[in-house]
Amino acid sequence: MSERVTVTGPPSAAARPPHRAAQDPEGTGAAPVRSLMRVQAAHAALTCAIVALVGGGLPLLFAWEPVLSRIRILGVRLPWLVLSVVVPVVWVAVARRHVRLAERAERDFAAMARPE
Amino acid sequence: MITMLAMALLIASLAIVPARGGPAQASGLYTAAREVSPWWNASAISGEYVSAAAFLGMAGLVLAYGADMLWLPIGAAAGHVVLLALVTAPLRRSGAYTVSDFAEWRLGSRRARRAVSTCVLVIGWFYLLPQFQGAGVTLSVISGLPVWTGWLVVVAAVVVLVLPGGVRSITGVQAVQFWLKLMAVTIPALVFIAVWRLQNDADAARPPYFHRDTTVTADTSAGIHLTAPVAVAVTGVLDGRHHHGERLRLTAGRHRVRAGTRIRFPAGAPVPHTSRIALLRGDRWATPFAGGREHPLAATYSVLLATILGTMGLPQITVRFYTNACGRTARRTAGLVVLMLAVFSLFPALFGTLGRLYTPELLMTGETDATLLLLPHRIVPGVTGDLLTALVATGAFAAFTSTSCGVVVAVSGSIAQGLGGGARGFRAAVLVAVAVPLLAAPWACSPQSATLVTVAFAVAASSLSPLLVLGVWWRRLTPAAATAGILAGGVPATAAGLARVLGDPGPGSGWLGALVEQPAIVTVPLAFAVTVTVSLLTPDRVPERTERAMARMHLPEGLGPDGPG
Repeated sequence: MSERVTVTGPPSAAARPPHRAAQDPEGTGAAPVRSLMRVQAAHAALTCAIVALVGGGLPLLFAWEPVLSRIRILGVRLPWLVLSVVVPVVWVAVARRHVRLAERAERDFAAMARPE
Repeated sequence: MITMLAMALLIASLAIVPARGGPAQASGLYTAAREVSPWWNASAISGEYVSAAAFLGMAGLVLAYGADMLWLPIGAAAGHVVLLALVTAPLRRSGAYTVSDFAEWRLGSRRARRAVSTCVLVIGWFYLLPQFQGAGVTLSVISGLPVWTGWLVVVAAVVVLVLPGGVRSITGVQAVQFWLKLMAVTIPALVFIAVWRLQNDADAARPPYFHRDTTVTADTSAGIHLTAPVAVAVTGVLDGRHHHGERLRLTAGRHRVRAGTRIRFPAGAPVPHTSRIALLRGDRWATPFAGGREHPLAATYSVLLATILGTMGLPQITVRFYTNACGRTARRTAGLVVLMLAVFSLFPALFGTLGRLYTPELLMTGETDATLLLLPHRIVPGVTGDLLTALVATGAFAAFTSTSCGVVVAVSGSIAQGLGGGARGFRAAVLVAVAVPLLAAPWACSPQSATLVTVAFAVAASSLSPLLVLGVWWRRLTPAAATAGILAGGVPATAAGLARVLGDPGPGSGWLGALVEQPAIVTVPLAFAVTVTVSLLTPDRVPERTERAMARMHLPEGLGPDGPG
């Protein structure tokens, strides 16, 4: 891995015609690929971090503060409400956000790679 | 009456199939022609994902164990968020159909492919077993047939649906069945909430009790535990003595019931518990981590880890994204799946709570999978109850057929190459995939289908998730490391799963028992650690095509090195 030569050319390297790139593995536009990957990886890491925070934090919270389990909202105990209503809503919001960010990163990349 | 209705609905739901059956060419067997829209494909994925275990089993788990079980549906939905973030679009862009194809394409290694295919087969077996279980319970509840007829129904459904048409024929069925299942839980839920007389004492500080005179029939011989003496009428064999309907006083403590014995309990009597289910007073049942299990927090983290990372390793989920046109639509599909599964997460809590009130005798028989099927009659007797039972039964049938078919198609797609490839290899693979769980079903002793499903998740998380996550995001992954990681995580997780499935009365106590029950908390980090370490030790074995593979996976279609497609 370390002996591989990194092409640090301008972003337009990715705009080469696909057939040339396919014949030349070293010239696949490694730098723009890496930059897009970095952006996508950052989005993915943040999404996973939110999942880890909610999924890792809630059990600790309920274990450390049993008082929370005695709170009732509309007759339903707080953990039941949180686990069967609030958390699923959070997941949907996180998923939507991730789809939006990932698509935006790809649009930006496409605009950079193929300036019209 | 119920049986007739349910059967009519089941046949109606199956009638969609021939219209969509495709030609039996090998290519058609594997893929659904990449023309499925995100909404339709998301319905199909969710339809496959809401298995017998999720549909029937979760309510039963909540009935028996309470708040601690609510983490399971949460982990399942979160698993799709992580799948969306880490795997979906790159996997689709790789052009790989199954995880096995992905391993071979990414690492250029037949050995890695074989390791992955073996894992996929094991995961598929563990996943099919609870479907058999759910089918058996459903048929025995609605029609009194022995449980093995349910197993045969699953096999018949798979043979009829999968063998002729492969994925092409099941995509539409699964999408329709998702909405059928959603109806089959939503309509009863709305009716129950409307008629529920708000006798909301499910979590009062007393053990569960019979709210009305109830006759319980033991389906299997079992030990039961009673907290207080109670006057009952017994027909059959209790504690080794024959009874013919006479009244007697049962003392507190353990009793043995032989299969077929009927016991009539008066209203207000405490519900005896099968020796497999710990007795929980209402307040402990309703409070997280108060359920008297050992190491409940570690067990919860283990379940969350298994479901969150295991989702991406479930073969039937990953192959579905292949039917999307491109990485972007695959990602949108995954986003919609999260939404659809979030809707389903509402129901286990409701049905589990209602089950605690209306079907407490399941704590004695241990057949908690029957909760949702029994509830309609208990809450609204009469014709409405019949209709709702038929609806729930139809949903249950849809649940185990669509999941079974999806799993069988995905597993067969992975292993067919090793069996000669082509349509013949595919059909041989279908038989291998179905035969083993069918033979294992009589030996499986956990009566709770949702518990069995967690085994499949744990194996998937411990074996395939490192390959997928690192394969997509890490350039230094080597074939040897991928194989080593699969073995390091997959073997112990499978061993724990087998001990769990076949061991009666269940794993031992202490940390070891907790680990056998939920191994993911150890096996998942182990698998990742081994994969990373071996990769770093074999830097000269990084596949030459890695850079191009990365570009192909991460660049939008048309901009990557392999051109459009």
